[in-house]
Amino acid sequence: MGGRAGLLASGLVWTIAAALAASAVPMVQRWRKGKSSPKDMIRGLATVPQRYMVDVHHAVERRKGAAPMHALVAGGTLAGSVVLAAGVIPALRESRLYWGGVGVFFATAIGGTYLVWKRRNPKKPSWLSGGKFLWLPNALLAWNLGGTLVALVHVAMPGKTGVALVPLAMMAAGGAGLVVQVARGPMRHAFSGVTWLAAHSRPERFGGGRSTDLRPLDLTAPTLGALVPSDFAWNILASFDACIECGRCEQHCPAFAAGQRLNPKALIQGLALSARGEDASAYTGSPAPHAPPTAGKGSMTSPIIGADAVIHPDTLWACTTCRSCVEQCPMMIEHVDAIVDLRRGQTLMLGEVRPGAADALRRLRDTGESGGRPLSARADGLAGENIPVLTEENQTDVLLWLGDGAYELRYARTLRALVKLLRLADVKFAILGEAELDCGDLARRLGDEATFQGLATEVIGTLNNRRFQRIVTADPHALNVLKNEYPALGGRWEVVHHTTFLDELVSAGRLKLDARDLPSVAYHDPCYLGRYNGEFDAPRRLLAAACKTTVEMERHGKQSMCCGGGGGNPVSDVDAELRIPDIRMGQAAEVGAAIVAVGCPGCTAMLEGVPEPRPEVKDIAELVLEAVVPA
Amino acid sequence: MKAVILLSIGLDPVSGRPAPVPGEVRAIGLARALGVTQMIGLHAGPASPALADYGGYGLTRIICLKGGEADPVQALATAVKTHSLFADGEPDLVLAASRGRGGSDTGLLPYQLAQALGWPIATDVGALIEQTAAGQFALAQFRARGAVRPVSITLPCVVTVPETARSVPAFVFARQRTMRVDEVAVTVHSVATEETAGALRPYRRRPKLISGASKGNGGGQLMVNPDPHEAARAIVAHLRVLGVLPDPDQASLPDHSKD
Repeated sequence: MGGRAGLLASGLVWTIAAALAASAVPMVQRWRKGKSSPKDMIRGLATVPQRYMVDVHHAVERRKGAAPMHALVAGGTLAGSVVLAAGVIPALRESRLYWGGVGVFFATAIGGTYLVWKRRNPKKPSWLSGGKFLWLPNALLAWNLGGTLVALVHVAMPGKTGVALVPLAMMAAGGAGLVVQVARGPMRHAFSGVTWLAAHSRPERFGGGRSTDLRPLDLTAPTLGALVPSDFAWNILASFDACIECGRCEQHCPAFAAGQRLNPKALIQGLALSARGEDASAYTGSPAPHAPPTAGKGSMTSPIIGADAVIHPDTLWACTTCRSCVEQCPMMIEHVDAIVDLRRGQTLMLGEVRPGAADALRRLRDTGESGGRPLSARADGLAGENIPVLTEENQTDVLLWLGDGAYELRYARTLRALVKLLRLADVKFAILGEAELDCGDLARRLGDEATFQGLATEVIGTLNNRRFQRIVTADPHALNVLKNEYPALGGRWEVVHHTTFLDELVSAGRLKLDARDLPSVAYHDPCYLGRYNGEFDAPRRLLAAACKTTVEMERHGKQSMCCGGGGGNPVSDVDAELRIPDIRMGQAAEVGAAIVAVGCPGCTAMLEGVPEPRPEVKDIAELVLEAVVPA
Repeated sequence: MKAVILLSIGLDPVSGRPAPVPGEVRAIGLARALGVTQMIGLHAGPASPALADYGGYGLTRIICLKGGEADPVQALATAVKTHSLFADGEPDLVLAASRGRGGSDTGLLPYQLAQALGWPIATDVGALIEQTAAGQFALAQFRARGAVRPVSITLPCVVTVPETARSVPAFVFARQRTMRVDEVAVTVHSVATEETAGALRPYRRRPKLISGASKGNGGGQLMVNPDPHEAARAIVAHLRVLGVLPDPDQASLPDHSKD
């Protein structure tokens, strides 16, 4: 019993394992052409099981049926193969119990294989890719069915294991197919995904953490940002290969939904194809909508962006940096980092920005304000409020950072509401007046790190010369820059959003609210407050205290949808089929909201730009002021 | 082709912060459009960090004539004529902004420099139309209210560029990093030239010729399919009433309306 056929079967597993290991060599060699980014791989790999079972699993199970499919097919195939590999030990080959185990594992994997097949049959959903994915179930079936039959022969006919040579041949064919899938097909994510999880560029994200700040760029480096694949760090190149084309980013991307020329999945695949030196046509998923086709063939040293490269420039400027794709990605790929790196390359090395963005950046450089408006006019909308200006001589508790929304009269209305609330709660506050420059958010998202760092240095210099307890701002973009991105450049203060601050005042009893009986109110999470800064609860608590009826839109909290106003999108002359804010207001109307509560000047402007009939747009500060009970 | 771009150190009129002068930025772009292969920025005065941005717009080298601020025209003219700005001879073109931005600039400087160099000057050039022959260009002169007039130039010459010119070069930070600013000390012998500063006279409002239209007599007369001569006579008579044309007895020009 357990004759030559059993030994051959274990040998086959070892052979396939060796072939898989060999197939990883060219991939690793290619990654090594990227920039160095030292990672402790031993420790990294030790964290992979935890990262895989917790963080990746959480993302995977958000799509119905995806988690059981993976558990059955990956678990069964791996377990069956590993156990079968142990069959080189003669004693095991003698045991029917052993073969029974092998059979059970492989049979489980057949169930998973069916689920893999069922995903794309009878019809492939638009967000999934075709190509090599379509024959992956065949390779899996051949391997797993072969394995099951080999085990069955050993259990049922211990004397005649020679019969097992037929299923063994089937296994060999399936195994060869799997090697091709790993070496040249979508299954490469098995290896690259593990590598990326071990060497992730933002390890803070695992275990429910957050890391969203863009990293400062050394402006003296020879190449700024990324122009060719080898400008990316090696682990980032691995992250592109880790993409399994599941299309969750595509399903959640607001730009894709609006028919703007971006599909995050196509973008990451474009980067992976560039690095692998393949044609753009090798991608078999949905393209970036309406993006002109690019004919280019990539290589590690040829440009990624261009009409004749792999990714069309229009794709790059359509992103609103809302991080929805990053939030959805089960492989924890950092799309926004890649986009900003590419933008940095285009902006800083080539000056290739959109005309509208070039104008805004020039005004930022020349006047310190993206609209070229006088800095003294920022507080014009608050002229009647007599707000003290914080100079180097005096001091205050709260420094109110106005942000560039303040130039608009609509947002000044929000700020006036906020100021009235602060006065009602007896908060000592002041503004910077003319000393407040643009915080540089726009420049940084557009890839103009030089202008960002110039502005940031000036702002940090000003703020370090002022005496205050903390900064309160009603602009989540300014909040993100001041709170998360200035520390790396030497500016550290306590910065809070106005909703967080008002929530504190309410819970401390300094403001008393009487919930009003308004028609239903839905809260629109600003990306830069929610996904970027994790503040989901304070605005909701405030809202619940100010209004009796609140509803949630289908997309809210971490899954919230962008208003279309971030990432320099509005100044980048982006072509679209629909407007993102129209889609968003449609979602609000779907849940019967009569009022959309906002907490960001960008969202206010974008959502109020939607033609009526539409829900009314009100900042939370305005709703709170209406509900406040005079002491 | 070689060009010199004159740089004044401008201030942004809104914020008062040092900023590149829009006309000078566009001059760099126009020089590119004209096919300039070598370009140097020239500033009469000491070097200043405010010049850095010009590198982003495409200047690779700026020469500051320290001490030249005493007599910028002479300093600049000498630099263009005799200073070895370019290894192989004089520049073909000097470009300046039509208008400064509150820095060390004056509207007369391009004219005075053209005079000192003995070169012609073309002002308010907003775009290149075509190159007509070697060293000859047809250019678009941008005039008030969007009017565009073709002008032709022969090199060498001085060209001034308005803020409305379309030739805005892209700003590239990587180029800004590599720009070199050299400071050269120059001595200008300010010869007390008996320069006629022009006659000074008090400001006089120029008559608004068409303003007579508002003085009574309504909107003129309606003529349907008139004889051309008759129509011309009616127009001339109307203009005389308005005071746009002088009365016939005072007219120094022959009156063609009666021909």
